[in-house]
Amino acid sequence: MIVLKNITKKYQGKSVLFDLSLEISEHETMCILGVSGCGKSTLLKVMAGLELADGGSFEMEEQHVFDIPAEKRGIVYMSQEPLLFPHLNVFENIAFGLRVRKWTNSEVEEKVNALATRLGLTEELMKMPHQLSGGQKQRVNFGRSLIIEPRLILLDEPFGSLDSQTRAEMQQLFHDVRKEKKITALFVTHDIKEALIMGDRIARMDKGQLKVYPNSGAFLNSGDDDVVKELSFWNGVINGEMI
Amino acid sequence: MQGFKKNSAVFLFIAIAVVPVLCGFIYSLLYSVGLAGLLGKGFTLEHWEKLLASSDGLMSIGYTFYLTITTIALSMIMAFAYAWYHFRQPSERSVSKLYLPLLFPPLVAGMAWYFVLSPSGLLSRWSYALGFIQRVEDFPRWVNDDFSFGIILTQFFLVFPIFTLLFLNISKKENLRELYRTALHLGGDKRYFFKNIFLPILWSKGKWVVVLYAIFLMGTYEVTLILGQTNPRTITVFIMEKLSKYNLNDIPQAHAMSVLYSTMMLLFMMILFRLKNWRIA
Amino acid sequence: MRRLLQIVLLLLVLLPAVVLLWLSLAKEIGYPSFFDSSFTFDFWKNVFTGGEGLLKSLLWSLGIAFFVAMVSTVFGFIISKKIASSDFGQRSLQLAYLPYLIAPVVLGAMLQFYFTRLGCTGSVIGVMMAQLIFIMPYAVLVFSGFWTPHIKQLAFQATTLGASNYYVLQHIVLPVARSWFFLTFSQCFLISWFEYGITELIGVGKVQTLTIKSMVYVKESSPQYGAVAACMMIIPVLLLFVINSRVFLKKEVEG
Repeated sequence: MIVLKNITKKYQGKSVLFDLSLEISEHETMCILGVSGCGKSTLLKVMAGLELADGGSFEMEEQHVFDIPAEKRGIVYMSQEPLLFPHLNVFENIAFGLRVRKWTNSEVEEKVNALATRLGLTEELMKMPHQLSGGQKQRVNFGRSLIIEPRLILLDEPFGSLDSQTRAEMQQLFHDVRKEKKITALFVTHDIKEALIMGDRIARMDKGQLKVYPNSGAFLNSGDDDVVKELSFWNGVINGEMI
Repeated sequence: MQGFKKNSAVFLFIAIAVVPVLCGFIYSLLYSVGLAGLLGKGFTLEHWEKLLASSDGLMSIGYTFYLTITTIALSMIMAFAYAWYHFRQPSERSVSKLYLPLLFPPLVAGMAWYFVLSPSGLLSRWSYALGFIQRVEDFPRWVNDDFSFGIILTQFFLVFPIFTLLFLNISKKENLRELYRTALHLGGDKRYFFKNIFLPILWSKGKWVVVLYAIFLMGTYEVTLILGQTNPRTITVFIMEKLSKYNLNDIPQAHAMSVLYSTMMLLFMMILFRLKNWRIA
Repeated sequence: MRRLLQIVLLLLVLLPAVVLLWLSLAKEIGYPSFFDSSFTFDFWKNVFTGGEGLLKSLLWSLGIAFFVAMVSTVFGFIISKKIASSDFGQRSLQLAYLPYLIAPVVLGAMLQFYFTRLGCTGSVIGVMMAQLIFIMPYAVLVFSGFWTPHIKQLAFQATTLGASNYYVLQHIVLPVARSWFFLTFSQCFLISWFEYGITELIGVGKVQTLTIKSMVYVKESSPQYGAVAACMMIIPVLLLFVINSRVFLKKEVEG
């Protein structure tokens, strides 16, 4: 169980996160929706250890996470840019976390090969990052995060820079793999459709505060402005009003 | 205290960049007013008066400006022209030769041009072989001459390729070829594009490099030492000469000139930073 | 007209190289001989057999430039990293221009007293210290270009994957910064390698680097040895240039 309580964060006197509380169950994917600048990326950075919170607590399996250095939290942060290590090939990029943990070569090889097969990267293992397409890079990024079996994955609009087809493929892949591997994840996006596909639950972030909906149905029926607009658009398309 | 610790490396950097300059400046200032040095006999403005009243010192300042402005202006005009020529007729081969002068340190460039331009130099020998001159004395004086032709040519040799490569790079980065097409579609012509788009963009993006090179030329020493006359001489040659002369009475003037030069350069930069168009974003 | 300009430009860039090569190889340089010159490697051979002290000067120059560039590069890397994460560090970077603003020679003139007091004039240590004063801040300035938000994000990515600060430095930052190390090192090396004014002032003629030796040949009117010394000064520049374009620029294009 992941529990965030009363998290606050200010930048130059301006509140970015304000008294924010959140609970995520094990193996659950929570999607946070919000416009640019609403504080959702800051929340992820605070949780990953890139930024320090000004107040509040963060517990994971009854451990105080804020007291643990970033590298020991077991929380992986995935950003919009795949951020592959440019001097390492695909194999070594995926293997990075295992090398850090001093796994033996044969163990690393076995695990990377298995995961690469699952992610469709077998042909790409010896390639350098600059030889990959955007979608392939994000697959490698995903594999690199998954291989260490993190306690929590934080995804900061990870498919935001992909074209629509690759994006749909990646959404499907993530959806399947997360079920298969029982991943706990916090997924940040500004795309309602993506949130509905990816999330077990959805939350809306606005001005540093969070409103959490118990399930997708509750979110769709909440009267949220963007949901209403999105639904009326699709209703319009279905009824032929938009054509 | 924590803030100090966090920024200690910054303070160390500032200390290394500023403290020696400050210490040197203070010492030279004290020396120039008789409060330091072997002949320091208490406060006096005698050395400053001597420096500012002598044509020698003032000529050095004027001469340094003359060389810098002439070289920079010439290099810029030629670099703009070359960049425009290359923009109209791109050729990688013609650009590649511009890298050759970048291999020359100023001292070597000074030496090389001395051997090219001097009365017994390469050009004189070629002129003789081709029958343009009959005696070595017939060759025009191009080194240690009154107009500093040799110095200007050598500095031009060092600076022109840098400006040209800079402008070519800006023209590529700013996608000027695309802008050119757009300007033509919108009814502008070649001349209009050159005057209103090409030149202003190259200048606005490259002006800081131009200023840095102007500062570099102001403080250059080796080229003017090899190719210049005994009088007038540049500020740096003036200072070094006064410092290394056996006459101890000349040393305070060298320090006064150092103070004057540093102050001039600092003021120049401070004024430049305050001008709206020159602010660094 | 364009053709004529091209020829003038070609002559402008080629003449200095031609004259140096000719002088360093010509047996006789009495006026007006040029096209009828016969050539010899004697002046070059003399360098490597220790004649004229040129070999010693070459080694001094190499040693000083190497040491100054090494120290400056390491300093530049460490300090620029700290400055990148400091609140007001970025603004202080402009101070690196200060020694250049007032010209290294003028700075040397103003600092000579302190070096005399410290007993450093006329020594290699003194020359290196004087050069470090203006080359170290420059190294910080060059290296500061490396610390982009992208590099910080890469480092953070490695941290969240479980790497310690030391591991990130060793396995991510240092390998990624390789071309920056080369760039900073080569620029600092060249500044030191080209340096004449401060070396003359602080070395007071006792530290005979290649630049000092070249100037001695000019003053003594020994153009042939002067040309050999000048050619030797160009060789490392050429080498760094080739390494940069062959290894690092190629990689950048691939990247």
